[in-house]
Amino acid sequence: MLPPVRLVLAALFCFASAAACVAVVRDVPRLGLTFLRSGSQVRPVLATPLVAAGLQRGDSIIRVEAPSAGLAITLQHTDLLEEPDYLVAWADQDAFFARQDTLQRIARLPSVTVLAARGTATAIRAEVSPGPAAIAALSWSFWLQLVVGAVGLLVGAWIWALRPTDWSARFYALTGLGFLLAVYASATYGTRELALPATAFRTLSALNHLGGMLFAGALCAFLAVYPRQLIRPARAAMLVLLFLLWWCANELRWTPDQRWSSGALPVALLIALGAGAGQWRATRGDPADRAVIRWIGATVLTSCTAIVAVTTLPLLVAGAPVVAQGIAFLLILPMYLGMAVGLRQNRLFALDEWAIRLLFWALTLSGVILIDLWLIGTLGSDGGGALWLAALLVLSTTPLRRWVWGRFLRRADVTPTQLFRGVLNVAAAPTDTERDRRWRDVLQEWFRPLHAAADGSNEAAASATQARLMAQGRELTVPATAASPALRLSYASGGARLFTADDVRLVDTARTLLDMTQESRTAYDTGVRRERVRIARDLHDTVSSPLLAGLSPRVSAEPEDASLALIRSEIRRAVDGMRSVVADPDQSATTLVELLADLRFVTVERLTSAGLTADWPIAALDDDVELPAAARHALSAFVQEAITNVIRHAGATHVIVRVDFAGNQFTLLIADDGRGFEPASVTYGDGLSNLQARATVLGGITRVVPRAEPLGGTAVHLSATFPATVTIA
Amino acid sequence: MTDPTMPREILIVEDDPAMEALAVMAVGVFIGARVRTARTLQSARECLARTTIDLALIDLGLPDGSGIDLLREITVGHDRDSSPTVCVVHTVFDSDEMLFAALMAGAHGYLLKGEPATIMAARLSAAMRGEPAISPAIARRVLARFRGSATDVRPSHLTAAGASDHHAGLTPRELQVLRLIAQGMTLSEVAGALGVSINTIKTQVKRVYERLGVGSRVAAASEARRRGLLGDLT
Repeated sequence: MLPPVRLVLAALFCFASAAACVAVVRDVPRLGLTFLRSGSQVRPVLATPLVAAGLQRGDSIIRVEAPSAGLAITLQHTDLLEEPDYLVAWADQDAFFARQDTLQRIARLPSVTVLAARGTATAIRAEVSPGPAAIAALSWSFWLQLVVGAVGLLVGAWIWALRPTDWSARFYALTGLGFLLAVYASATYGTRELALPATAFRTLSALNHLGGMLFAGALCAFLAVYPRQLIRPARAAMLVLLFLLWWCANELRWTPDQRWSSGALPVALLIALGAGAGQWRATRGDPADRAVIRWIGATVLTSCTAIVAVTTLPLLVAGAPVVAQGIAFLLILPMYLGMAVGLRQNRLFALDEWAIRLLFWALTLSGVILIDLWLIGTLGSDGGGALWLAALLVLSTTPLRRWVWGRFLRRADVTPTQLFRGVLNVAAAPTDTERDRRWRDVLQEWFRPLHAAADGSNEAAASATQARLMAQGRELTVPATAASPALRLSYASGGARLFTADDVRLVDTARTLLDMTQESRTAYDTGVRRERVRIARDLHDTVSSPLLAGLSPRVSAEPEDASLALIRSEIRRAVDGMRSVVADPDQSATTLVELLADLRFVTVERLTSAGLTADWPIAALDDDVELPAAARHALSAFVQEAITNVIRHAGATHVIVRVDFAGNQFTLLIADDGRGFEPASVTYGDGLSNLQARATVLGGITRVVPRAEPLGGTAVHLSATFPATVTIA
Repeated sequence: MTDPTMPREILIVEDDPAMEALAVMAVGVFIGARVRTARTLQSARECLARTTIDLALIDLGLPDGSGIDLLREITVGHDRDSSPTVCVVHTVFDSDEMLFAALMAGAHGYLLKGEPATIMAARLSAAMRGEPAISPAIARRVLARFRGSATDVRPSHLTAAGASDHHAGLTPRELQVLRLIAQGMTLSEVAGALGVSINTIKTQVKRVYERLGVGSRVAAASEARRRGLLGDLT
């Protein structure tokens, strides 16, 4: 059974139980009397006036009669007891139930005479017609107890739904069930006006005891196996059985009196404390489990201690309750509400936040179902047109319902196109990190698991080559890919379905496709590289080799003249250009920042070895940009050329270089402290026109100023606009 | 004659006569040295077997195999400083991937064919002095390689947070040095910035190369060959 279905069923069980409680309470007609709940008076005292019968607040009710049926009963304060367990002797309990039965028979008659006393002497006779109890007349503490009981069961069922084979989850869920039984039973008889039928009351009382015993036994068993298994789960289950036997003995009245039953919870609490101490010892040296037991201890033990202190101890010792039972049960809530907090903080039961999402969804679903039932139930019961109205309302909320179910039950329905697009998208990711992210995204999109995490559980998982169903389909393991580790997906479609063989096939197909795509991409990259190498080899054989031969000393037996020097420098430029053309763009500098680093390194070395000092601060640029090969080469050549000019012609001793790149504006300054030059004497064909040509390739402007600030020598400025800045990770 | 930075026996392994002439010109700075030449791997091996060579200038693409193989044969069994032969790669292509492969195979330096004679001379002298060949591009590759070896072990997503700081096998100081070089600092500038001698920096760089080479020379060369980068490149 799927976790949400379990949870929805649990919610419906709560609702059905609550409805049963309401039905039992409303079965007995009411006289309209409300009593003060303080225990000092001998007879019951009215808390609110009953105007129609002429009764006032403060009147004490002496007797209730039904002369027509020959029934009459003189009221005692004990008739109003919330909890019959306060009557410890079996004989007292039997008398109590007998009086209850008589009272309820009187209340079922059309007319009842109430004899009341006002002040000291006055006796008042009032005729009252008992009517059905209005829902609104039921006390707030009744509703509160229904809610509190439901919380206990739902939290327990929620953990159990997610960890159905886990004994600790089972015991925890059992405490929730016991809690609900105890609370619902006591809420029912506690909210009666005067009486319930004896059989109903006895049954409810027995259920209340049963719930208490279940809770007590399961609590001990739970702490005996969680977080560490102090004893085997089967032994822990025996504890539960022991408490159930205790319950049987008590209901069969083999015990001396009722206190033997009420003592169960304190006994259980002692056992639980012992188990908690055992857990504390067992978790020594394990901070995670220590945190768990600390949290469980704080919530479970304080809750239970508190409730024992305010309800059971007075029962055993004083014989009178300290607080109303409705309030007392609130004390248990931390134990269940704390579980939600603990799940997040301490990963109790190895669950996580997604488990809370599941609870939320299941409750939303239950809510929608209950609203439907309520609409049909309340409106439809009036018959005729109202039924149509109900149908209309149900219909009009259909989109909401469909949305809720849709969110919840979406299935993996992956078309071949989606499959292909998803895989291509993963394969096309530029980096492994991105590929990993996209792979997880695509799995999320296809399966909508509640939870997905790296499956580092064991070596086998890491080396698996095929997807596998785990935990009866609640989980699916996805083998590792080149960029991603093995993953474990839990609860397909938000927990609404189990993983199937189709899902396994889908994952395996996707992985095969992914591998094939990767392979062909690698093959393509390799092909591009091979082609580049082939071009490089051909260029070398046909172009650079003859060119370089021109540099060979054999050609220059004569002392070099100027034109030969020029030819040689042109040859070097050509070879340089060829190098940059065949350079692998993936491997050489591709961004401005990297290129500037390379240029700085070469430039400073050149200047230093030529005997000049260089000042080129390394400052982080505001931006970075990927440069195409032509721009890289042009910028590199520009700097080299300018530096060559400085070394050859400037007669300088110091050079400063400044670069800046902000927005998309790039500026470069190369200045020296040399002699500058005479603009008139400079002819085209010199370094200056080369600079001009490089700047044009860069789409920028260069300005060469002789005898300029800051150093008094030549200053070369370059400014260019580099498009589309990119963020370099 | 005992100056260790002045080679007495030089071997040039080069199949192209024009390139051989360039190489001979380049080693002209070492006055008094004897220069031998080999056109094939085979003849280079024979020469090495006969004579103790102080400096070998090796072309990577030879008719009967790759210069990388020769590099490995010469440097195997020696650490960088104790190798009897200083090996300098003479290549026309300066893709740092290939230079990196050569450095990993044990090369002490590299020359680009057609570089001005002064630069060639400076590089050869540097290699003879035991200075490591380094550039920002190579530093970046070394960093990437060490980062890569860390992420090979663990999936990238696990190390994503601290990936840039995780370079298994590099000491913090080595990492610092490589990063400064990658930013464009020269070795002497790095030495100044860190307040140590330039020799310390050089030693650190060489040590990193050595670590790169250990156990990875064969792998690097075979990877390079698989990617079609070496072997058939003349």
